[in-house]
Amino acid sequence: MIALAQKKDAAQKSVAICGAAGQFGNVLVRTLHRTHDVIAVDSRAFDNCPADVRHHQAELTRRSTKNLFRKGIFDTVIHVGANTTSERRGPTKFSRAVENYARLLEYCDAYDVRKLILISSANLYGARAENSQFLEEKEPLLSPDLSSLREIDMMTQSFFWKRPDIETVIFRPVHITGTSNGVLCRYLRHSRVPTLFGFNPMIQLVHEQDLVSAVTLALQQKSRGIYNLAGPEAIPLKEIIRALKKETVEIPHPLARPVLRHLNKLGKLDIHPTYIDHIRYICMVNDKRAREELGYTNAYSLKQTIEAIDLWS
Amino acid sequence: MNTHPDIWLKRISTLFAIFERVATMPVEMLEKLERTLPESSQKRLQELHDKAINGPKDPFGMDFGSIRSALAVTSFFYTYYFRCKTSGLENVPPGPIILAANHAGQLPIDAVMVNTALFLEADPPMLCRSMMDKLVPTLPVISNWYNRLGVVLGTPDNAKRLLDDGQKLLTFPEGVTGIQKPISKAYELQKFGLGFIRLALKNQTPVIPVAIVGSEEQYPTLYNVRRGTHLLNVPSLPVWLQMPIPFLGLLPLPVRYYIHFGEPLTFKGDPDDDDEVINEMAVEVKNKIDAEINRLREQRKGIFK
Repeated sequence: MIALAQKKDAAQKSVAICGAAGQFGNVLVRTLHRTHDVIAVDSRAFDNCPADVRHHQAELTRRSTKNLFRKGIFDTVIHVGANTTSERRGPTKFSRAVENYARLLEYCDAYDVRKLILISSANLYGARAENSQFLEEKEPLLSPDLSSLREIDMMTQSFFWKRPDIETVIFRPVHITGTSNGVLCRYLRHSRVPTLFGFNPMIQLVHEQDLVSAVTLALQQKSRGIYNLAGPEAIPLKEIIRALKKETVEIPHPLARPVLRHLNKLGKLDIHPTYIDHIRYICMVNDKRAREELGYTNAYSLKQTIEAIDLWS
Repeated sequence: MNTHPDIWLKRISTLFAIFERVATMPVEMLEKLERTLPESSQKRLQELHDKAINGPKDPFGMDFGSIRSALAVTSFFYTYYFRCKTSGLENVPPGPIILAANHAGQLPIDAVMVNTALFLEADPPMLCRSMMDKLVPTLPVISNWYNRLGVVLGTPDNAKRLLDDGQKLLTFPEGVTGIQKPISKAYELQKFGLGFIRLALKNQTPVIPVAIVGSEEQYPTLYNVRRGTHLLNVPSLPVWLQMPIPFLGLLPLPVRYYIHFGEPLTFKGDPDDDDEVINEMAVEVKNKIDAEINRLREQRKGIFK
């Protein structure tokens, strides 16, 4: 009853979830549709779309999508579709993702959207030897990969200044576990996990439901800004592999790039060689701001968060 | 011949797993070593073992189990090899503090001995955190060991976080210049960096000057080779006195260590003040250490006594 009452309150305007047909978008739609009127915007097919959610199957650049925004029905826009490795998808995919997002910002600017939430990634800070243990939101985005997401994140930061009246929020979560098919999860799902000999960086994970709860908190409050998001305490990479009862394959780091490239070509490994730095150096964040300002807390323990890696299958 | 990549990967992996196993000291050996230590040291190590099992996890990756293994070895060296004499521990209060010490001896054994002194002699036992150069995280095995032993990368953010968490921070304001100096410059304190003072001002943390005598003579360095060392990604390669002795030449000389913890110094001011202002405070710490070093050197009757 409470959920329905809440839904009625928020019923005047809708929440657009762009990239809803993806793994995390799916999870987000399934949670938010209980309390909000949700419209899923994704050019991909959305097979298990809930019955009360309308799926607008078109690119953001299409006239039909613009018309949807022009009606002024959206109170909030959540963009989750940008969290992909551009190098895996090629330059065309890169330009299209950025172009789509640029169009989305145009719509938000023109058609009275109150809130814009971008699900970015903490991996944008880059895994580097010089990294402090806990990176804050002010740190530069130095990752050599994820170029499309970096561009999208930067465009959103410019949008803060362009439209200070729109409550713009950027979430930079660490590696997401659960049904999401993030790069670390794909890497850890191999039966034998290649690791670098002599390196065992600390890794932070966040359960997808914890990320959903952070998005819900941002929807409920008048929040604005960039928020790093981490889950339970950090853990060394090889301990995660041990907890998942997987075998490691130790590779000396000078050979790692050619070996991973070779395995990639053979289809034995679903991880791009540019990702090597993430299994060599730390890329950890300080999520104090989200915990203090939004009241975010992780509900899932470390054990549950690690176990969620295998949920995908 | 089967050349399937999986087979080769497994072979390479097994080979490196063996290397890793050999590189870590077997538990039985550690237990034997522990039994040779005084009873009070064994008790402290056992308490650390309990903490490893029941205690909270360190966000920087410090592992109490690894610390216990390392301290079992370093306690042996502290008690029997370097026969350390420690004084002034009553000056070290609980809570966050910056320890500023003189640095010498090519390898950071002085850092290890200060840590061991705080663990074995302070009541209750204390652990302090050291900071490493940004070169270390790029080194396989060593980076992993350092991480497990609680050594963190020397960045202002990391230092601040450790102090905010109530930890003790060991710094060597002379830096690499101090540890690499030849025996001809023994106990000549090099120019102090200013980062530790700025950190102390920022966090309102007292600074304890720590004087170490003995480290200068552990590897009496005759010459530092600098030509071509960039190929090995190191600033220089030292040539020390005992080096020509096969195998044993790699060990430090069994000099006696003297460690003194001075009275805490509290500084007040703007952490972003001009270098000249901050330098005055750094010089005050340096003079305290220098005076204490001279006192300790007068007190000792020889480098091994």
